[in-house]
Amino acid sequence: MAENDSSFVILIDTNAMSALSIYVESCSAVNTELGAGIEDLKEKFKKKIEREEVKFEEYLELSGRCGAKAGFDLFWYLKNKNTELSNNVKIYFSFFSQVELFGVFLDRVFDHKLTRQGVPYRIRKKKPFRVQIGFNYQEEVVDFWEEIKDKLMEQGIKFEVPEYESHSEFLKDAMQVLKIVSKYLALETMDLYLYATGISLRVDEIYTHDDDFRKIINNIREDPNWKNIFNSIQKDLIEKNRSFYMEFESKGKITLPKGVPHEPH
Amino acid sequence: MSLSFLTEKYKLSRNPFPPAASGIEAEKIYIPQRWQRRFEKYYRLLSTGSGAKGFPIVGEYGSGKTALLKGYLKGFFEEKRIKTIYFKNPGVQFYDLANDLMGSLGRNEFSKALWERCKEFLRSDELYLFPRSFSDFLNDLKKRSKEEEKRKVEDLSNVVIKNLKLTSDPEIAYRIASMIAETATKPYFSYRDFVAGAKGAVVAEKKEPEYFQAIIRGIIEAYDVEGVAFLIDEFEEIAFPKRMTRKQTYDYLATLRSLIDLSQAENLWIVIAMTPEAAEETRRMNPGLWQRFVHRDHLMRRDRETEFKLEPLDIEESKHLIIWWLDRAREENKNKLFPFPKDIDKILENRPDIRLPRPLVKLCFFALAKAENEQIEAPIPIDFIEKVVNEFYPRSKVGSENGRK
Repeated sequence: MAENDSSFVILIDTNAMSALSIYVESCSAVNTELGAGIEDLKEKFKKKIEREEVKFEEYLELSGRCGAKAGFDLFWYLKNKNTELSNNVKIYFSFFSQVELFGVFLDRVFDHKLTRQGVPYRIRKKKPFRVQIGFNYQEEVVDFWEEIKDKLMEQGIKFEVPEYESHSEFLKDAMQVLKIVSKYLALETMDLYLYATGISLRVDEIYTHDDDFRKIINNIREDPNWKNIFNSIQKDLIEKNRSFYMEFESKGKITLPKGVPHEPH
Repeated sequence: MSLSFLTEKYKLSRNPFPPAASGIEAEKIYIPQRWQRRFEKYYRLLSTGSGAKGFPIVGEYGSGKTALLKGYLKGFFEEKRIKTIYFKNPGVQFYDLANDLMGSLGRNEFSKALWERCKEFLRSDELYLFPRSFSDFLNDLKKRSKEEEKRKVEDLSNVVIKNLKLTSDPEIAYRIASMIAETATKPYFSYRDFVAGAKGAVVAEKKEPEYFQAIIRGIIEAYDVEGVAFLIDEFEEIAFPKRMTRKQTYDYLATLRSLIDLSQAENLWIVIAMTPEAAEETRRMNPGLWQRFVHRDHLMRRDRETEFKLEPLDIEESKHLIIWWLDRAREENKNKLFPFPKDIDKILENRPDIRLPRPLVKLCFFALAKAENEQIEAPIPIDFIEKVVNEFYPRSKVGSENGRK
């Protein structure tokens, strides 16, 4: 089959998903449909603050590099991809990214509670109270995530967890790729896992707000100075995995994932 | 007791045509001699050559591929003392196939059969009054110390190498011996039995094909057959390339390649039923691999190619098929089209799309059932049959059985 005929596959990094969750939460907070622009959201928040329906500290970060604006961009990126490719898009979000994301949600819960109690940011960021604050994990983290997924699903954006696919075959493949990549690239642990996951799943794109990570991903693909690393990874993949061997035999090279979005936020 | 309308008027003990909507589940089906000769030719060509022992069966949905695999090729191979294993839409990964294979054999049954072959070569420390069974062997193992158990497994693995000659690799032999010995504690197969690298996996990393090769030899030994035939009923997703990811695409090709390689080295036959779209996609994805599968050489010698396309039967073959099924439900008046009309040709001539085994059998079932229900006198009039044909197979419906196209 021509490569262009296959499903288009995207892997979402934790930071990008966190931004998307902020955007979804922002829309919910002001009762607006997903897809609304950031200026529109700001305006609605302003009115809510004036009417004292929300306090200023509950005003979600709307324009930061990993805030609602970035989430808005990702939302429309996925929406447009679905339209452009007649919904022939598969979106993966790793189980381990989900664990990381739950950590982010917990931070938000604690931050929110401590802010209400008047604890200054200087103290809050040291996270000294985490074990002393009561919280409802199911409601504030798990259900919250489920609600976000449901809302995105209504918009045709559905995430799949690679670790749940095909028994544990995925993990076996990903670990094999991880061992190969780690021989040639000194990535952060989570980045290494995600990159190996992306290669193993043959994703077309890894969507991340981590500029360094994205740069490395793209350098390996495109930069002639990194050619030797690409070649080494390709050689090992072909040698150790029959599926990659078939890709090389059919296409003459292994296609590694591309890092997106193009412009840093 | 009064006779039923079917028996009295149509001289049939029952409606002999299977109505199945998804594949005829008959043990044996009619296929024309022309097809039988082709399969015989493929068998002759491939069993003596050095290439892959396999071929695709290419046909639209509803054309009767499943029936051909189960109702004809199963018997075809078994007559030649080749054990058949039928796979229904296996996953695209090699593991999926291995898992289905072992699942269909059953761990206890397969281990027992292998042990039966090994036991005559096993040295015994003790004398037994009665011959020992597999369960005696397993119970005995439970009572042994770890050291003794290990020694027993080593004995078994020596037999696997020296006597059964399943492999020359001591590691693979040891793993097969362990598979037999551990049946007492785990009487089923799990994915770890095939997947390399995972903790506790039986198969060593990078040794999956060799292990699988030894398993194929094991099946041949254990069941005392000449070979093994995999009858694979579509890798379902291949017909829907847009739904597949790149990973699935290359996993599928890797699996196909492993099977073709294995079939070249062992007496393993691979028959894959696929739609024309799936065949075309496979050819496009990897022309070289497809050429190996259909035995197309650089000289393009058509007579040596082994792509079996399910094309419509001719008129006589179609009539033979109807008669063959009718004869299943009558003792007398055999070899006649009755209660169908003699001039059924008039319909068959204009409708090649229904002249495939499955649509034809389905139509005959419904025509007969409807005629019986409406108490139509035999022979059933041609315009009645035509009405049924147009009802069940309007021309636009062709090729979209089960809503799939």
